[in-house]
Amino acid sequence: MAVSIQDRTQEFRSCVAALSKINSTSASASRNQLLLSPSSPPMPSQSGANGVIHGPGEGATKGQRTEFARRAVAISKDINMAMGKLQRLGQLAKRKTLFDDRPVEIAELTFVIKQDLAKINQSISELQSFVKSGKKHWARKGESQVDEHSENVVVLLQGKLTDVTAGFREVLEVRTKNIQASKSRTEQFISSASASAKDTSGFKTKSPLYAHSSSQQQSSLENPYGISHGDPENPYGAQNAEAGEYLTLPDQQQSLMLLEEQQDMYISERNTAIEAIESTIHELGGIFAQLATMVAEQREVVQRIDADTEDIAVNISSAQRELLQYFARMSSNRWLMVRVFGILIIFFLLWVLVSP
Amino acid sequence: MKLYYIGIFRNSTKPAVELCGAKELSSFSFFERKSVGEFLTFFGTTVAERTAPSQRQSVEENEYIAHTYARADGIAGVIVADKEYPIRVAYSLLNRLLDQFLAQFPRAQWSQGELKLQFPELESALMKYQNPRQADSIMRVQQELDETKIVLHKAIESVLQRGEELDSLVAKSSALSTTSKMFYKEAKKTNSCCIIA
Repeated sequence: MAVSIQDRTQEFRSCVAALSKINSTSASASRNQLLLSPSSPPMPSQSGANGVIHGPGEGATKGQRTEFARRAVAISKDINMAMGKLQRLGQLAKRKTLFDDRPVEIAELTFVIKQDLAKINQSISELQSFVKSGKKHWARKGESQVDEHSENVVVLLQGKLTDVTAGFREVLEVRTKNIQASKSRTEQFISSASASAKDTSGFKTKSPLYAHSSSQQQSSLENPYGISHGDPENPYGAQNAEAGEYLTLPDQQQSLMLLEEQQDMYISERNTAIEAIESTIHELGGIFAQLATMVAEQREVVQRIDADTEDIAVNISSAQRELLQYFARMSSNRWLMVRVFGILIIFFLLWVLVSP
Repeated sequence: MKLYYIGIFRNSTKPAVELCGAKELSSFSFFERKSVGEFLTFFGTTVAERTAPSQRQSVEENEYIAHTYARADGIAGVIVADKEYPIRVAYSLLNRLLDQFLAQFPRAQWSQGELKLQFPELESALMKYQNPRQADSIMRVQQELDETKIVLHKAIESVLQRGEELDSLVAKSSALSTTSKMFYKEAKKTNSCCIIA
């Protein structure tokens, strides 16, 4: 054993220096040092045979780790850029002006952010698989800390990605709220001019304002144009939003509104259908809860029945016991003989006492 | 509710060019089919021409309705259906088909010239969406939820019945319990009291 120990530290160090010159740029050289240094102390303590095999293996694992570090840095850079774009989008979405809204830019930015998030997600999952595959090479105890470190880094990156995604979602919600608010304001401005025209036209119509407020109250379906598309099949859609579908109004403004309403119609109808599904699911949840309460109440009743039947069993068994004792007594002769002799003796005594 | 025709047009040029189309004319008699087919194509072409980019429209003509969706990059999809067909399903089908079409044929293939592209998805979609209840996912989910609700209502009824039966069971068991107790007492009385000869 003592003979085979060789000190190959110098060989190893020269290997490392050569490889680090090949692999790294100046930015990652410091990182390489950091990653390399934990593993160099364990090296001299190994026996010679192991040292030979792990020499070239070390070079490969060092290369892998720097590769990991590079990828992790690239991913965090992407995440930071995405965060910056998200902030710009948030700024744009917060603007509440009616006319200066820039839908094209917002849409582009949304699209770009979405793509970036998907790409980051993919690269994180690639990194994770890379870490897992890299772990197979590292079979020594000294590397477990590096394993943990890489896993922690991956988890951290994933956490950052989820933060960015959550922020993105919030910004989208803010944006949709603002769109709705601005749309209601435009409707108010436009409909006040056209409401008078509509009244004079004599159609059986509703002004969008009225339709808007009544859709908020969720009134039952009314399709004033008499076109029963999908009414019997879709009883849940509050179809006031479709009120403008087949208008034949002469006014220019009204035809503009017609166009807008047609375009919104698809989206709003989809919205109502999905809301209908949501409310149905809600009802189903309520029904399940009711079912559960009823069964729970009945459980008490069942327990009472259980207790009662046990009482019955106990009573009957003890009554049977008593009857058996009685029967045994009746069928035994002992007491009988005692009683018979007792009566005989009483009579005998009486006879003795009576007859002097 | 029937679908008659699905077509994808290129409407960046006037007249619009039909890139691919699928017709379902089995409901017409044999002699009418040709003319009806031509009418459908012409109707689709006209409507596609008159639809501005990134706009949805539904145009009514006799008893057919053409639902059109024109994308911003120059192609438009048209579905001709009867009046009862739900509009939302038609538009979501258009969305889907246009996306698939764009994925399969990149822009370069259809931006020039008059050509007929083979897109068998149109035929299969036409067949499948004849029954919009099953084909459209939202409607299917709604239908399944309704069925579940019916099943749950029946379940609640049966639970109520079970409750009543359990009530009668409880009454019977308590009566039995009292009776058996009295039985036990009587048996004890005959056993313990005066010893009769």
